[in-house]
Amino acid sequence: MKTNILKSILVSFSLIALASCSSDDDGEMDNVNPGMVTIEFDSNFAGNELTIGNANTANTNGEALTVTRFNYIVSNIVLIDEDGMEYTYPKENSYFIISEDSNDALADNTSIVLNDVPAGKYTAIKFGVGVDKEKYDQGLSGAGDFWDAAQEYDMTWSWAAGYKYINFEGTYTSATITDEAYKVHLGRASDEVTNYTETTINVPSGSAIIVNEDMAPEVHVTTDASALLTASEAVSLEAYGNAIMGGEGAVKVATNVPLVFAVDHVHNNEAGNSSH
Amino acid sequence: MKNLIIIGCLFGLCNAFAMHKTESNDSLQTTVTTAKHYVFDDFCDTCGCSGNGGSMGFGTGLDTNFAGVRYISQSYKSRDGIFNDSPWIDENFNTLQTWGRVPVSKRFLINAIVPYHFHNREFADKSTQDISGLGDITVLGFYKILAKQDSIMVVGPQHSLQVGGGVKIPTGSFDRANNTGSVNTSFQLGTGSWDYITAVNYGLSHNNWGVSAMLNYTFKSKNSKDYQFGNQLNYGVNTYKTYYITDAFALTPVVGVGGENYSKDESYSLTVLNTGGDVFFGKVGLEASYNKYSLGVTSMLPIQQNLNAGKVEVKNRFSLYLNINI
Repeated sequence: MKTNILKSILVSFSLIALASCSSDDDGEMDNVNPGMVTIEFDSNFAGNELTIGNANTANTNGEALTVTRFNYIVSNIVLIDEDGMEYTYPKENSYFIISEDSNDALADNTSIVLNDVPAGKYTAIKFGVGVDKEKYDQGLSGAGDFWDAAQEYDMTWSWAAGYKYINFEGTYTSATITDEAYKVHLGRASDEVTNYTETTINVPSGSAIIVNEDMAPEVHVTTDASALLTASEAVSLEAYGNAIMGGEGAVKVATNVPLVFAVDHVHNNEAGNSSH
Repeated sequence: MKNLIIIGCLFGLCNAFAMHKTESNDSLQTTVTTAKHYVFDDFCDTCGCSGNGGSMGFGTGLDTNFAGVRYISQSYKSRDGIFNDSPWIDENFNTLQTWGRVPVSKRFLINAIVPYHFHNREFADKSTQDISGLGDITVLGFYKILAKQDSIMVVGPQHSLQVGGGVKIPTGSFDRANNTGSVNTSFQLGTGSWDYITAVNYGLSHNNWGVSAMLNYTFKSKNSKDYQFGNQLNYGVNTYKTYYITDAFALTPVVGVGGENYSKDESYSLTVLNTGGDVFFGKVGLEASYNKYSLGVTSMLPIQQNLNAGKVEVKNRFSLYLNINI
């Protein structure tokens, strides 16, 4: 135990030492030879490709979902390098809508491009799903264009009620119900119950996101829509009357959210070469 | 799969039996002009860009000098996507090569191969990709530790043993962009790197029967694009019997097994996911020789495989060659 504490202190000191070598006064890394990073969200349903409008096999709650809309907000992106150093993407630019929607008027959005990321080897990504309290508390004036974009994708309620972090809709069939419409809208309940969650996902062992001015890495993140209702808390649509907009159901969904995401693989592409 | 193994075993049994039966004819048999064999070839690289020791067939007719052309087709399927239900796509690797073996001295010989590749694949979205061009040229030198006796008076089993090494020259182009479309990182014309090969070939012939074994290992280096293919082990054992139809014309059926083992690739010194693996083949072939000419056909089918974490499967390999003895 003692040695562990000693170790922690040593590690802390060395981290501080490292940080002071490579950091500005504000604790951020120097931005030398910055590069871009693309995060591609590959949605699936329990391991099979998620196809909007196609029926999926029944989940562990005995409900077979046909997804018509799977939109969510990804925010506050942090890249963590091999030494555990964190690079926080500028907060004002760190809100994104990921969308797969049967409404053809809305362009599908499945990737995020981060620019001017400091050169380095990153091995984990941390991000939030939804909108944090700080951003919410800034009010409409602090929301900027993001509120309008969110409105377009039906990711808002009224201003007071705030954003829908996740808008997950479709129909489902169970032993007792056939082709019933369902809605899962996750959002803020109160200052205490924000339902905003953060998740940290590691790249596969031995892999890394290589960032510098000559590279254009692409991180493939899998998003398992089925996990929203099954990952840790079993959330039956039928039990919540086909609509989860708040209350206990939303809290359970929020518990599942961090388990929805994983890094499948990283393509360390040279800049100028895009993936197939 | 099991059938292949059974057929192989049966052939082995027949082999032993036949050897026993024909023993009394030793002196007679050795006086007949012997056919030249190329039947121990075909350990292709899973890499379409190969043409290394494995695919060169340097285990073949160990004491024969020749020049020839060979066509090799390799058929693969690989996952186009990362999900359980992602579609499989077909990938076809085709190679036309000139190859040859020339003696430098009594104990030393040089093997060389110059491949031309033309590969194609169709993605799940129906888009297609074709690459073609010169592949990696391989040059190997072999030292004969044991060589088959020239004398027709020799009676009894004959052994050949050769050890050698060489280099695979990055004459085939390597394009990183080819690797982003599929998990099959081998859809390339070349490894782009200088690769080094060590090899051992062994041959045993007795009367019209023969057994050949080969083992080689390729050390692959990092290429200029900071990509490094995994090192590769090839091995194989073949057995054959030659039937002399006339003094000038002979037929040689062959059966064998062989395998390949790949280490994982590295990109920017990081392990590439879903690379490496192993495959074990059964093989059948037939060679027809007429005077100085040999025409051969071989087919290889996988018995067991686990390539690229199961995301790439070899379906079959086929080759056709015409060689002239020199």
